[in-house]
Amino acid sequence: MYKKLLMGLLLSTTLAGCSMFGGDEQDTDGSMSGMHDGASTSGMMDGSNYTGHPLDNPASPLSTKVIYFAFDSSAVEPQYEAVLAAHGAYLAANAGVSIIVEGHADERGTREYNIALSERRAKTVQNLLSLQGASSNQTEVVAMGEEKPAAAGHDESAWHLNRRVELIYPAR
Amino acid sequence: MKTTIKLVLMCMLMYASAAWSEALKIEITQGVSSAQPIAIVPFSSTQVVTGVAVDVAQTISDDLMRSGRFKSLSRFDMLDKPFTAAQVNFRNWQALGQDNLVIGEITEQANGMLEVQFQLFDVYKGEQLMGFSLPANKTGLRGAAHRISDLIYEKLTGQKGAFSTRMAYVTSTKNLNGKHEYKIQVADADGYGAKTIVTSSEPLMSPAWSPRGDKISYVSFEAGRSSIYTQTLRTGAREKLQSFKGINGAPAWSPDGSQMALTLSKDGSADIYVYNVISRSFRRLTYSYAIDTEPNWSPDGRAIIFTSDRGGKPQIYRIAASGGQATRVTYEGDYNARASYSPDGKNIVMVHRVNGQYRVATLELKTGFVSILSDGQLDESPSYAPNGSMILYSTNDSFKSILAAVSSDGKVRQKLRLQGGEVREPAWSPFK
Amino acid sequence: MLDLVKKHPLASLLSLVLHLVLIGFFIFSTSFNEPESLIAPPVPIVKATVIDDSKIKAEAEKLKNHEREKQQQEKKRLDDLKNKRLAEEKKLADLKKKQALEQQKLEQQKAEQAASAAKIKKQQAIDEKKKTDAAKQQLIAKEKAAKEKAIKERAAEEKLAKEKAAKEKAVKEKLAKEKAAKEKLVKEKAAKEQAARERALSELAEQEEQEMRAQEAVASYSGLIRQKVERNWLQPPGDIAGLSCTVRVRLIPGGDVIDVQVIKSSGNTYFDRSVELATRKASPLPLPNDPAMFNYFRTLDFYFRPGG
Repeated sequence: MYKKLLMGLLLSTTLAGCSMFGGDEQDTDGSMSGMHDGASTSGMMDGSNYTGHPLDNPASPLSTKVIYFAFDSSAVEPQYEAVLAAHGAYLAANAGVSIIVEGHADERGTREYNIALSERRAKTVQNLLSLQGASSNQTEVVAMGEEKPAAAGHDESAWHLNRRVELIYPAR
Repeated sequence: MKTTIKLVLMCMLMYASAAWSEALKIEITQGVSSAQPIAIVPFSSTQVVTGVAVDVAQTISDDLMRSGRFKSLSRFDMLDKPFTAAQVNFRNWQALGQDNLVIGEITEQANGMLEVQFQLFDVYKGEQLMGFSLPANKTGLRGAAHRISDLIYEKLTGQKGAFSTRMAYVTSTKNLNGKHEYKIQVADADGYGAKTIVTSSEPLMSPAWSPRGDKISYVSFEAGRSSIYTQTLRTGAREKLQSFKGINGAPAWSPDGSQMALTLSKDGSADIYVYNVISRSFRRLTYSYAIDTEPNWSPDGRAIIFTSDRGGKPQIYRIAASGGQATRVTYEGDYNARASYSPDGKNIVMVHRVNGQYRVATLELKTGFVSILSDGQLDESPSYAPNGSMILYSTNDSFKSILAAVSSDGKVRQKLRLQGGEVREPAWSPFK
Repeated sequence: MLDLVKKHPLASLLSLVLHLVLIGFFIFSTSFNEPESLIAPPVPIVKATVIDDSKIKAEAEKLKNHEREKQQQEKKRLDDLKNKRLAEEKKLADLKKKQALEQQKLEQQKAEQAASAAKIKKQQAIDEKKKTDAAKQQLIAKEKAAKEKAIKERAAEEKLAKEKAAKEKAVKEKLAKEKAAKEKLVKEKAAKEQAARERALSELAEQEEQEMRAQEAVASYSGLIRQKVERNWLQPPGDIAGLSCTVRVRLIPGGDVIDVQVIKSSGNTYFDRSVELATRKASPLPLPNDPAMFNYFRTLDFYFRPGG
């Protein structure tokens, strides 16, 4: 129970992006184990004295790279507005950086329709990034539908994690 | 006075009884709609046939059972196992409640070829309905069994059998390194003889047969983005369709094979386009700001049905293949998607959400009547058999996606156990 | 107008086409009517007759001559009539004279007849006197004989009467006997008839009851048979609404189906076969135990009509 709670907490904040990277193919190594230790090092999450890459700063909204959606919805929920504003500003400030905005859906519904639904989610995110000054050639929308779930279950806890848009920055 | 009444009554009675003694008339309005009982006696060999591992009678029995139209007698319940007409005692089979009886014999020819001979009997009339002899080589015995299934099916139902057809489907497995492996496989309609036609570490989806059954188009994410490929089965050679920014998906061949409907989002939202195979040109068919996807051609090639959420929720719409105004087809429920026409064009089968469950349902186009055929929670990708008798779909079985078949009247459902991981998106081939 | 055309190009075009068609129609129809109007109406023919003056004069003369002839003829006719009357009057006078003569002759004859009758009467009176004297003698003898005869006759009569009485008595008795027998017979007959009537009535009632029982049995067993056939009817899949098929089934006592014949096909082989199979598979059909009832079930017609 505790583990679940902790997992949920972590996922909803800084670790979400990593859980994606921690998936099947684009594993970004040690960050995963580091995150699991995260609970004990949380006192250090200050941000002001963070020395790593700004996109990895756990105190910065930039560290959130996965946006979750409600069922059958492509509306960005308010808690993600600051996250997307930060990413939009970052892209506007770093014209040389371009990202993939990858949309996903949960397994419910038909596959091709879910492709289109995930694209609509990604495009909503893309629009919000543009509002912050990100140029349209800095963001590319890819719609994955339900083909690449982040969680393998067949219940709402998994579905919630799968209804998402991932902001994929090039490897640093 | 009383006497007259009695006399009249008597006359009436006598008249009535006279009429009865002619032929009592009895009206039958009810029946049972269960499957036809059929006994398929193990095919016998008077000589030892080496190198054959196919149980022909069992294969026929499985085929016919799967169709939902037949129930086959277990061979353990058989009182005797004749393999020539002279050995058949019809009373035995009547006693077992069988309507039909199949016996057969396999003989090896001098050249190593096999001859499969079979006879179909009407048990109650004690008459032969059909008898054939088919040549087969030892590796093609299963195919011969499917052909016999087709012949029996057609003889007893009047409908062309679809047991010699194939299906394509997508599998996904995790290999030892934890990496995903996606495959498109083609197998006999009973799931045997699966052959992989393409493997990828990135998702594959939406296999679609060409009308002649010689090619399969599909969507591959092998380049990180979706693209449509068309692969010739015999050679394995494949061709990538011109790709566009955004979605390239949901390929569907026109019945004459000259065009392909597909989904592109290059102009904004997902819309239906028609690709001309000969001129290699694209024509936009729908112009909505909503999602339009999952096109499917009517059997006459004149209309295309597709999924659209232009009304807020996904519903099925129809548009002339030449373009024009789309009209809504489905009204029942708030989620209807991925529709395809039955081979006779009278029905469509689709995914229909009811009480939060995604089910396979048919809709009779003339009446709008919806029948729910499946009973799972996440049933998907329904695909009609080319004779319209059955529908293949994918369903979840203990948290794993598997294939299932349902008779088109919804009466018989069966799960297909196939090798390997998640199995989904079945696509039934056309007739050969 | 132009705006209207622009607003409704299709309607305008349609209206234009319609007008053109109408105009065309008028022209066309007129050109067809013209030759007809050139035909002149028929002229009435008057027949003239010329009258000749000399002919009139001749006609007048002819009329005058005719009148004269007529007058002469009338005079002659009147003369003839007068002569005829004179001749008739003479004839009547002659006839009266002849009648008077005949009356005279008749009276003379009557006188002669009366004289002759008186003469005959006188002779008759003499004859009568002679006759009565002889008769007186005869009568005395006759009376004597009659007296003797009467005694004889009375004896005979008495005997006869006796015999007659006996005879009548016998007849009476016989009649009485016959009457009694007859009455007895009638009574018996009536009784018999009454009994027969009563018997017939009770038979009728029994028959009626039997028929009722038979009817009930037929109804209930028809139901049982229907149920068994319905249980055995595997309806072919697909759209069978509207199909119907009638089969004639022959049974043997015990209910075994020995023959099934399609007498009205549905037109669908598979439907027909399912129907045939259903009746064969339902064999043996349930029948009443009473063998007399079998006749009702010897031949059955099954009318298969899915869904009613």
